[in-house]
Amino acid sequence: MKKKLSVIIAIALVIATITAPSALALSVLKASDFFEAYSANITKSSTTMTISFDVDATGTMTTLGVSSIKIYVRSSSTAAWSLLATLTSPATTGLTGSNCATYSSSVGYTGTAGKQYYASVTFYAANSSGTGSRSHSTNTVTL
Amino acid sequence: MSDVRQNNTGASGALGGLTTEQLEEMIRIATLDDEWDIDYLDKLTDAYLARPDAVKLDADAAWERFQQVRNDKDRVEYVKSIADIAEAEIQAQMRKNNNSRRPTRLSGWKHRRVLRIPLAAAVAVVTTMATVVTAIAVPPIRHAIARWTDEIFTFEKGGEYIIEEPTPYMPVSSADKEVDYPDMLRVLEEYGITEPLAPTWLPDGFEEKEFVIDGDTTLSKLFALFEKDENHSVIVSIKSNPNGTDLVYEKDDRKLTVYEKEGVTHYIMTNNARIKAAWTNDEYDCYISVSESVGVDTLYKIIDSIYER
Repeated sequence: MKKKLSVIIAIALVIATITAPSALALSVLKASDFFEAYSANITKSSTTMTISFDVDATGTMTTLGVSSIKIYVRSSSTAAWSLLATLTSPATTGLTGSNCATYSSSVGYTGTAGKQYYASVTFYAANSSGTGSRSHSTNTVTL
Repeated sequence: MSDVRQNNTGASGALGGLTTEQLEEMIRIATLDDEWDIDYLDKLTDAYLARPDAVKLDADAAWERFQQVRNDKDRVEYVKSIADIAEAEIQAQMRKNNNSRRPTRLSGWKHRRVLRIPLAAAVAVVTTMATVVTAIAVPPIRHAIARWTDEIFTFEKGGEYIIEEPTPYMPVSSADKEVDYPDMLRVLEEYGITEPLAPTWLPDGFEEKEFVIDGDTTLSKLFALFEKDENHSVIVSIKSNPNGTDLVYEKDDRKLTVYEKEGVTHYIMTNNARIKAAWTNDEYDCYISVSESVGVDTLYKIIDSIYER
């Protein structure tokens, strides 16, 4: 039984690295017809964190930017990360630009002093041939 | 529970009609359930392993490989700790089950804990795919560290890594200075940047489509898109990155090459229908991307023009 379960887990791990976990909204890292490069980082000022992002496309996109920013906080007791907030348009402004090949912006979020945070940023691009997305995690920051 | 699973549970014969890719997807979906159905996964696994094109693996080696995923970020340490816990829990559960009938479904919180932990590990490993580095190189002059996989490329500052030399490339010809692109040079001069970062030559017929400058007292970003037509474009990007923020470059799995010019290592990679040269010069992360139809030799000429002052 140990061997069997180990094989299942091993296969699951290997497949997890080679297939698209679309149900989890995690992007598969393949070459992209939409993106050239992207970055995201998180900085702090007192109890406010600022998530900055920058994305370059392969050409002019009808929409380019970020579709969501998920902010995670680390439990001081269990050290486990949990989702604190999800920022999306239109509630959060400035996440995307129109008819551009590059876009950068930043979003502020107030946290709690002493807590550790990071963000998972999902980049998004759309043009006449379709849409593309990529997820990228920032560094961590302690407020 | 997925519809796919419901349609195939207990019908091992039906699995034979599925493609290997479909079986992989079914296994992946099955392991995303809150609880794993061991009997169902047994059938999927047996069917999958019988395929000649299935991923060849040794369970122990695969587990070891997963545990060897390394990165200096906390989140990866978290994944590693999950993997360690998962292995310990599984072994404990197996020891316990050695003295009892094999359960098809474990019960209670123990079941959820034992099976959710490897599930979390499987999911978490996806988020760390980019850190499974296939090659690392340290440019001889600049001290940024280039790391790349089959899918992405990044520069990192600091640290010591094993050097794996990529394939060197020798250009077929040097650049002829035909057309000046003074805008980028003027911007750099206005910000007091003296390092050679911007090209002074592009092929004939390219016109500026987008030109973006970010930065107040210091330049944070200079981006320019030039197009000749919809199939011929050139992108020039110069970004200040003094803190070493990870800038991720998209690439495909074709072999990466390097082009040395004036002591700077330019990493040449392909991204589907585009060819890109990425390099770092002091605090600046730079790249030039051209359509495949523009050609790699033209890309080298554009790079050469950066250093011809």
